[in-house]
Amino acid sequence: MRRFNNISAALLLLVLLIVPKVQNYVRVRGEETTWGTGQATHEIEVFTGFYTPGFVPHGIGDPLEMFRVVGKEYEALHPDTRIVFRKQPAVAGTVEGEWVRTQLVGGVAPEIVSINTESVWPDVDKGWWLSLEPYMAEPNPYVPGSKTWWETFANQALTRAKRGPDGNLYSISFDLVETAVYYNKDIFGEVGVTIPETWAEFIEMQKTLKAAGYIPLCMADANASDWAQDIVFDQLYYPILKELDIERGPEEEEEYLRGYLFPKELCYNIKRGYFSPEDERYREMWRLLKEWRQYWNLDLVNTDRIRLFVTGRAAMLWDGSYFIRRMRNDPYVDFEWGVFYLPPMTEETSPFATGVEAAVIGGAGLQLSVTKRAIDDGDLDQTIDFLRFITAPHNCERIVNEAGMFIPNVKGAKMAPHLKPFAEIIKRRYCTVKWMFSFGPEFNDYMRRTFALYLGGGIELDSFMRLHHEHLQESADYLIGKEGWDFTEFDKAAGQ
Amino acid sequence: MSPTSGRASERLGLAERMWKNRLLYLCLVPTFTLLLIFNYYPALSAFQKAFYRYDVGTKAEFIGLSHLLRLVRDPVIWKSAGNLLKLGLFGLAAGLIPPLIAAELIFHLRSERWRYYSRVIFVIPMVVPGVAISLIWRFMYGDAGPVSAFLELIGAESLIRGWLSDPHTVLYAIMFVGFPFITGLNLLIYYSGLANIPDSILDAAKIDGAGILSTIFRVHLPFLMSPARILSIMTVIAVVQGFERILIITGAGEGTGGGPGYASMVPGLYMYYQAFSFKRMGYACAIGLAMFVVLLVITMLQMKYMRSETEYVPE
Repeated sequence: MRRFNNISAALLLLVLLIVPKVQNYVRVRGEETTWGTGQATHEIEVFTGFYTPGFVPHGIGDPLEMFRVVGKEYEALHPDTRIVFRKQPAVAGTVEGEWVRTQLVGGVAPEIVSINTESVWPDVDKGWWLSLEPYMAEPNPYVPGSKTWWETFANQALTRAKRGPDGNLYSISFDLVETAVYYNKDIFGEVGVTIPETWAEFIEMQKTLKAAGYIPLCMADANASDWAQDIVFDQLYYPILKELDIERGPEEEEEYLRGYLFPKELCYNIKRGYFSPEDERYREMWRLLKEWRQYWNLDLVNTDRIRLFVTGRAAMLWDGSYFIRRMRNDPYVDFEWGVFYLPPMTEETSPFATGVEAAVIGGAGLQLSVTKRAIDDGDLDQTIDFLRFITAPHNCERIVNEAGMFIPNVKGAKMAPHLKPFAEIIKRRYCTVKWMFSFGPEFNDYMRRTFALYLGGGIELDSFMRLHHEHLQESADYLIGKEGWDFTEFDKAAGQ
Repeated sequence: MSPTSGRASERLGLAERMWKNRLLYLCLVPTFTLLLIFNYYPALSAFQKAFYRYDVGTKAEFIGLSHLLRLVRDPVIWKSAGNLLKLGLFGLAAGLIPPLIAAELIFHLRSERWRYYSRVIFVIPMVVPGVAISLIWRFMYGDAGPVSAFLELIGAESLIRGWLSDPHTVLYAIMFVGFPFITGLNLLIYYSGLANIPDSILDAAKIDGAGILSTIFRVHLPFLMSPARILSIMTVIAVVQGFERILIITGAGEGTGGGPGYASMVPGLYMYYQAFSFKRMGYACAIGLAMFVVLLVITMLQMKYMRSETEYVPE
């Protein structure tokens, strides 16, 4: 027994010796784990989305490394700070921000996080996110001569338009993204269709492509209920935008937004009877989307739409500028391809359309926000400083152009030449509304579900519109109550 | 000696025995501690949270039975419960019958070597992770997947559809995942049940002139009721708790797992969305609590009614 006790005591001692080491190991988080014996006193964890070092976009080509290189350069300049790049687990079917919210609750979120700023806004009142407003008004020390950080960004209106409903900016727009229709020139030539000038032509050529045995257009489930809806909505409602756009945004943002309907305006208009089953324009929008759906891939949930296009089964793919990297590097792409933007709707398609140029639905690509972890860990100054460092033109250009999927949003940072078509598209007016940015994740989820049900033939237009209307009313009521909005001024402006 | 004093002496005896074996009990402490911390505490905490409005990142507020009342009125819960019932019934049939047939076929092979190889062949797929299987089936249902390609090959193009985008087919598509449903573990459990039937009984059946079918139905099946009961309990628990497959197969888009609409939604997945996507942790806990109660009742019913009339206990 004595011998057994001695062994137990030895084991216990061993455990006691190991635990502090393990703790030390665990404390040094992220992928670059070390024993923490360096001279750095500040450690900034960064999740940089698709720029994450080691990530291979589309699984083709070399892994991205430039963010790590820039991080190392920062560490060389600031020996008291270490930059650690975190990876986010990719989880299918999750709402954006789910991972980071879980990390925030656990107190282990990275200091800097890539997240669409619209996903940040609902949690601002929890104190999880830091307003960048005061820092934006200060110069960027890494941009000689800059008076404010604001002025160093290329697309001023877009960057400023990312302010939240409370008027504060919670993310910097590091780069720009835009969508386009990628098309297979060989198939177009074989079938005898050309780039359409109008929506009617667009539908007609898809009909021809389908008859020829091709999938005319590849579409994703999420894009159908987001991009497609935004585009068609804009085409039908732009003619009456003056009736709907009650509140103009700040002048500096209007240059980009040009009549964008903010959530408060949406709520007001919902309460005035717009976007209801009785709104013929709204009904027309859903009818046109269902009509368009017959030319998409059968299974919208399926994620191999890119494969369908790359292997020549599909003639077109509507996707973001990020897809151009795949098209340029995929050795199996053995056809000529090009990009064009969606054509305008004319009266030939709908009595509500006027032929106005189709608006864009893209905008900011990588949006970087600062979490409360920076404050909790006493790394706030270093965190902001690192953000400023990466938005210096030379650094931004290197990081963005290594991936070759986006356009740098910093003055002086050159764009990769192959992205020029997208830079032209993004000059257009921004779409009238982004429903998916307006009411939060629960609204988006229900919207997508009912829309998918409608598109899949599970319910007819009338039932869909009734469900959708009930949901819009509930969402508007919730938001009006939560924000305490009063529409007296809106009534005056609308002349009611 | 009075009954009370008898129990007291029994307790004393137990305490003495425990003291004598204190080192062994001490060795069990870490296991039980970990079990309490990582299994029981979260579960009990979740039961408690079911009675609180608990939005992640905010202070929990006690709201009594509100969540449970809301649960009863929530149409999505009833829709997903209906889906679960269909999946559960199909899962029971698929989990019990095909492995039984396969086990019988293997059991009747004359060569011991082939019996062994056959078992190995069915067991090897067990090492494939469930996530990989789900991803493979998602590919199978795609526009360029084998299911549509096969229909095209046999000239049945009119049947081709978006299997996972069509609310009329999505649930059946999910049911079909895992075809031909011969799970290695289930097969092994049945096979071990068959192997445990005493030769004397099988010989007696032969002498009485029982054919293969008669032997299976009158001898094998009564002996396999115990394994079948275990398998049915395991299947029901797996079906009620499992939602990962549906999330992976139907949730490629953001937040539409269990769709289109709620055509393939199940309570477990709905709980997951409430907790992690919509930050309604309290309501998610209430769904979890309801699932636990339902599962407990079903398991008790299974234990009570799926009793084997003939249970062989080796001497």
